[in-house]
Amino acid sequence: MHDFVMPVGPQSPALKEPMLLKLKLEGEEVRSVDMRLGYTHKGVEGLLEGKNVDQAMYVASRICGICSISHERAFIRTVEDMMKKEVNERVKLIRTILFELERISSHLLWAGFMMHEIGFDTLFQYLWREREGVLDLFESICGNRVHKNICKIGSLRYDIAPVQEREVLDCLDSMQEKLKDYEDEIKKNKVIKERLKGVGKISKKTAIEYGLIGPNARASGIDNDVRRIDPYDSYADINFKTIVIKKGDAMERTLLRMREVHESMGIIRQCVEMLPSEKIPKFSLTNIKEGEAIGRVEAPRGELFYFLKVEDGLIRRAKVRTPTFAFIKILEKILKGVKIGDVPVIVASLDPCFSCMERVLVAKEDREEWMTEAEFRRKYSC
Amino acid sequence: MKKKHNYVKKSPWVIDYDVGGCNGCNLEVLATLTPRYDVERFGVVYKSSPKNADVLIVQGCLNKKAVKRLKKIYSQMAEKKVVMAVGSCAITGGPFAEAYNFAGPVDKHIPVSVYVPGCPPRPEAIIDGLLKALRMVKEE
Amino acid sequence: MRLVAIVCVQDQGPKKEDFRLLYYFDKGDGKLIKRIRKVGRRSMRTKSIIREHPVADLFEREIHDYYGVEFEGNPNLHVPLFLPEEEKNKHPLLKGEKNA
Repeated sequence: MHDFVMPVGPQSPALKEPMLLKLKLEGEEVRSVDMRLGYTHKGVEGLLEGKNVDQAMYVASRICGICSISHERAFIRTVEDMMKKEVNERVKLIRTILFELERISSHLLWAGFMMHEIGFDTLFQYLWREREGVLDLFESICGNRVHKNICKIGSLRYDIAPVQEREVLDCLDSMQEKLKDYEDEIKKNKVIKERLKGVGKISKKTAIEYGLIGPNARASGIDNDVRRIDPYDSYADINFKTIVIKKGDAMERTLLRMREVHESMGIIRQCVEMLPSEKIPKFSLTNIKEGEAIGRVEAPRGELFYFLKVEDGLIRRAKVRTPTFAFIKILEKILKGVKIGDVPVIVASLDPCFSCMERVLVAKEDREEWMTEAEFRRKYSC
Repeated sequence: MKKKHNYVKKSPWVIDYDVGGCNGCNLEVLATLTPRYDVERFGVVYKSSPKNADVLIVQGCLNKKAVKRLKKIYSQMAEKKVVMAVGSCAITGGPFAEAYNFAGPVDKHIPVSVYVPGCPPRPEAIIDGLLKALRMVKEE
Repeated sequence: MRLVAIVCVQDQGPKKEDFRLLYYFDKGDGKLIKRIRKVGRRSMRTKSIIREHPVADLFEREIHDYYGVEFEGNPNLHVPLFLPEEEKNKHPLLKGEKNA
């Protein structure tokens, strides 16, 4: 019996991990799972203590590169709740547009990664090429492709010009047809179906027991979208569907995310139409003395939760609970009894921020042997 | 007079190692593989094994748990190796320089030859840094 | 009811350095339910809830790493979640004297 230690990483922030999965195998089946985290732990919560709100926002948005705006938005929701601050309509709509654009970018990134994981590099290249269009929009509106830093308390740093509104709609139009083709390919292609169908099934009961959130939960029959349950920004005024399906395997999780991309496009189109002509207010430095509040948003991976306690104008305690941290525990349950070859696909299908099995470490009692992913696949015929 | 860029006589293998950042730099390094930037036209191949790699790309904010692994990967690479630090976290710590789990900039632990600053740097800047690194590998 | 998060806040003031554990639950109707549990600075112990909510395991381990609070009934606290093994007994967010 070997002890395999498979590093899954690098991972996204906010909760910080590439993690190490120690799998005990019997033959080809996984018997037990032990998780080790902490490979990207930087001490962000310690870093946020002692800073004022404006300084802390800069750090908060850099916790994650994939859901950067989600972090900003959750942080701001917490502070605006603390200050009981009202926000004008245009600011809300622009924030919604950027938030949904980030959801599209994150789902396309993940879908490309998933295809790469099962060896289908063609779709990986195509999906990431489409994603470049969205990153161009970010660069045009916010100035940076990855860390947008655009939200401010009560306002935004930049406004959207009419020509940029046109750019947004053009980008979505050009992506729509192609994404439908890719989705069809995923549904019909034999290789993809064989690797994904029936793999990594999560029943609704397990999902509820382990507190599963986000698209993974929606693929197992739980409707838990924070945008609908606890709306923020303009979500209460917009017509959109929360897609919930019941099968709960890796294929359904993939297709659900592709469909969510289409829903996001619908939300963005409605927002652009609803944009009023008044300008956004100028932002200023935040002036807050005491307060304690929580805020949550629906990040691309699930519910992102922030807790802030402010005393004497400085942050005394900041708690960031990212969606991955909340659901990663379920791996201990669903990896039991599966074949070793399916493990990378199942972990990747949960979208734990960024799951890429870079290296596999095989530990045989006292001897360690590093293998590349390709060698591992060859040896264990995945 | 050999003036032309002939640094692609040997197809260079690059290993990309993320020590634990926010993933922003990782995304931009991976974006270099996509059709718009296409780093593979220079003959560059991204591999995950250190044993045959020529260039080591390090991104992310080094934390204490990752230092040992980084040194191990560096020691496993064959000689004439070049290290490239991508992103401001790898170079100085970036916004996380004062965090309690920060283990110092990368060049405190292994020698770095090419620095690509940015938060994150654009894929074009990364390709530029990579070509400079390849030129160093080529120089005997 | 889904456990959303466990937040540990160390309140500081004159002669007081106790912990407040805030448990947030989601019933699915929009508002979060908050339950507060106080943990004294001297005892540093409280009961774990991993039997009812398996996901609390990671939250409790994180609080143990940051502050040193012990959760009775959680068998996984001896391996630090985030910090390297060598720094097992350092609690980065804990304020004040260790043996108050």
